[in-house]
Amino acid sequence: MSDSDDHDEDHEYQSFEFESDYEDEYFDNQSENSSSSTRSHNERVSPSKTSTSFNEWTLPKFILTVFLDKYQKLKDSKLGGCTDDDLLILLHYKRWQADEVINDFFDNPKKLFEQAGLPVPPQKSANHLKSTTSFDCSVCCESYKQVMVYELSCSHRYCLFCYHHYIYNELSTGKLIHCIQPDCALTIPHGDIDKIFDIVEHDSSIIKITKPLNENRLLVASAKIFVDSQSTYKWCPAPDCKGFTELVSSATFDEATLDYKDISIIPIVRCAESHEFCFSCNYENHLPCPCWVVKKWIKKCQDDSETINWIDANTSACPNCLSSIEKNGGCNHMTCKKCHHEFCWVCLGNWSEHNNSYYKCNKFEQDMSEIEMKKSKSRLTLQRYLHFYKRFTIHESSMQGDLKVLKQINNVAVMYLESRRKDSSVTSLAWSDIQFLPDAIRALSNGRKTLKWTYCFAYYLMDSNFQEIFESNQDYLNRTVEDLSEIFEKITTTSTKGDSDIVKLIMKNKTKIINLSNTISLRQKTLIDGAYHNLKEGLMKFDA
Amino acid sequence: MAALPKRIIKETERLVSDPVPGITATPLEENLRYFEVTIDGPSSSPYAGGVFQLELYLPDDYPMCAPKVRFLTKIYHPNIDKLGRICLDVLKDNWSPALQIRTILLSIQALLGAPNPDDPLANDVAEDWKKDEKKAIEVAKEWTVRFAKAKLEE
Repeated sequence: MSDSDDHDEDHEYQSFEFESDYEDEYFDNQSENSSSSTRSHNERVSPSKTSTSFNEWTLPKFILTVFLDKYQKLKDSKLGGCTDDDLLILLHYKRWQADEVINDFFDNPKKLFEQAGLPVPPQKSANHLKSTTSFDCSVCCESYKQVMVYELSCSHRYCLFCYHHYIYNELSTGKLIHCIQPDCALTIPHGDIDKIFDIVEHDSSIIKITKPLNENRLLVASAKIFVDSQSTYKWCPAPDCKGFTELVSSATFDEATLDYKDISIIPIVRCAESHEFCFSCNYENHLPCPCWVVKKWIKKCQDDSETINWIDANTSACPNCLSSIEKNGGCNHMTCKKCHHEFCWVCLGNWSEHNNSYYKCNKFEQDMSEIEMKKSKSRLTLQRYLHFYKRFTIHESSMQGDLKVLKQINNVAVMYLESRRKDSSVTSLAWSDIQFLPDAIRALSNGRKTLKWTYCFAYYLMDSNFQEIFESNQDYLNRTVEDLSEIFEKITTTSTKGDSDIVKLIMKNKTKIINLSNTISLRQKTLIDGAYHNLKEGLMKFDA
Repeated sequence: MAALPKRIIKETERLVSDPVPGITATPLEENLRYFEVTIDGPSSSPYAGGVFQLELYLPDDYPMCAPKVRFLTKIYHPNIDKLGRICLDVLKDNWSPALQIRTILLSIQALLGAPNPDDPLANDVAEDWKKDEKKAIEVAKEWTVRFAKAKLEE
């Protein structure tokens, strides 16, 4: 690091300190920065006691490691007379247990081949995928002048369209697929399945580009079924995400005996695309809330929210019977259809008290009768819920906005690199110079996610001094998140104006962005750890 | 409704021109995928002498998926439940597009001749069948007379 750089850095720190009121955080940040400058900002924030370890998977990677690794080993061991297609079928049939294949092969190869649907040696597989003339397919009963047909060594021949449709249906089972003929047990090799699909779906017989084996349709279908059936695997719940995660430390994760009231055992995991989610309830990372609170909240929101929001925005309750009334026209002299109570729409006071002095709704010193108390109480409960719910949804929708920014920021990053390259004073340039931008967005998004769930947390929390501490932590996090969000807002709105402006803006704010995203991660951790600690010690309790 | 696949037309033609002995299948005029079916009880079974009515429907995906078949006549059989639904492998997992309406109906006829109480659909019937087969067969005969013959005489 050169002297001038150092100076720059100092200057930025000062401006940062000056512009925002994070004095208390400033020193923390410095020490934190020195140790974590290389650490990514989107590091998993979770209670320190959680001991879940997990593997991130994608289907091709999974097929390669779990299925095809055995295939490779078996290929090396050279089982007498087996082709590669045969091996794959044998392994698939034995559920990828290579040992069983080897044992059975040396025990009774004839039986093994028969069971797996392979022609018994010394007979070789003779599968044909070819074009033929004047063919009557016995499944679709069409008579073709020229058509592609497929047959296994049994010579049961059907047109490719029927085979395609048949295989398409059978794929859902993830099991080996046999000849169409009902009493014929011969198995269609994995490679042929892809070939048939390529030809039929691309409407051409000269497709040469075949998928790699770890994207084979049958293997993919089989892997999906496998993942579905194992309780130690779960799909990432993020929209359009194809990743899934395996929980490894199953000793600490026993579904049956778990008490999800303890926040310390919430198994927050990450998928291959860096989405965090809860392995137990298959929802996004909902820390600091325990799963059971999340479940309750979601149910409540589904039951009430939309309707209540609408009712709240568009109706008033009859002051007498509390029926919801939508005013769709007419004057302010209302008569409730249900209880025939007459009242003023503006002040909701008794109409009779208006004494014909229409719309002068300045009467406010009504005595609080018992009914009034009850009414205001129920209104208060509703308002309390809406208060939390509104903030919960605001952060949810902001998170979606962040995702959009993340997409835009890649263009911005390229722009930034371009302009730095042109600048002759900059000698070395790497992608990592700009990495802080997507990292910061992720930190922002994660911070928001935690913030979102704090409102669910707070809704169910019982009043106590510790609740106030929680709320101030929440407030701190909120402010940092908003500050960073504002910077990005500026960057993305400037990005339409021109390259030089935006690069200047990023340069000016670089240190600020890094510091803010560090602060977010730090405050997020403080909040979650604090919540964990206080819940565990019984200092905070939920009002269930 | 989409045009009827050639396969269904051919099968229907053959069912009419070359009927299976003891089995009739007639498509409805207004829905050619819906068949009214009758199956004669196999002579060596407790269902002998009865004529059982069934309905058969060919789903959109036929012949890639199995036809839907159901008994309309009440029958006392361990693999056929109160609603007439049938537990038969070729109607489910073992369906193959190379099978046909006629082969399916033959399989059902065979099922009448060989009840399988070890893979039951109607649990109560299967239990009776296993406990006292003789008595169960008597009941099956009685039901055949009551439901599958009475209709015939009407």
